[in-house]
Amino acid sequence: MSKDQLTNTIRRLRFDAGQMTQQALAEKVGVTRQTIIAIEQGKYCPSLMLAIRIARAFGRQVEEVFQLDTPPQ
Amino acid sequence: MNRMQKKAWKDFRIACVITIAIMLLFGVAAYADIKGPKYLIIGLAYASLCVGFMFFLNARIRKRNNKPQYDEREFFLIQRSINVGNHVFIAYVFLALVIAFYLVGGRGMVPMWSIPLALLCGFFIAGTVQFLFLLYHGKEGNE
Repeated sequence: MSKDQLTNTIRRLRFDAGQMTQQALAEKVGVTRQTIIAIEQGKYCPSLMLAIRIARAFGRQVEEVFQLDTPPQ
Repeated sequence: MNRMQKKAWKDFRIACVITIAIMLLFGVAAYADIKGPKYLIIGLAYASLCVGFMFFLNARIRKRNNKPQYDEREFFLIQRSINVGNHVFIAYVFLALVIAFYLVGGRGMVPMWSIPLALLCGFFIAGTVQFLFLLYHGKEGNE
């Protein structure tokens, strides 16, 4: 079973984008604020479509927003 | 309270109302010792009417309230809660069968009403687990 963990830089990118609120980002990508919170905290892995929408909201590539951390074997 | 928790409470209230209504119905039927094809037809017609009315009412309420469009996480949580509820129901049926067999025995007699009542209990327990699951995971994003 894969132990890879998906991390993200959404929180930092929100602050870089003029202190964008979670609600504003949620409205921009068409989800609820709770979903953005869950993604930020790493409790929920978004679908590819949502990940692309979030990356587009910041004008970034998906890899700049989401990273796959592989623990050392 | 976010909309997942609202949905959980709404579903739980509906489950309670349906359970109480069905239990009352079965209670009256068991008390009056209703049996025979005549009552079966009346019972089936009544059940069909109830189910049809519930679907009609549900469609009307959804149309009026503009049914919320759940996002992918909410949809995922709803699917998982249904999955967990199904597993709980299967576990309950298995346990109920084993316990009934060992308590009553292979040649024992149980009143007929106990079977639909046991089934109804299973549905209610599964519904309650779904409710608790949604309530617990729905609040995760509130921090």
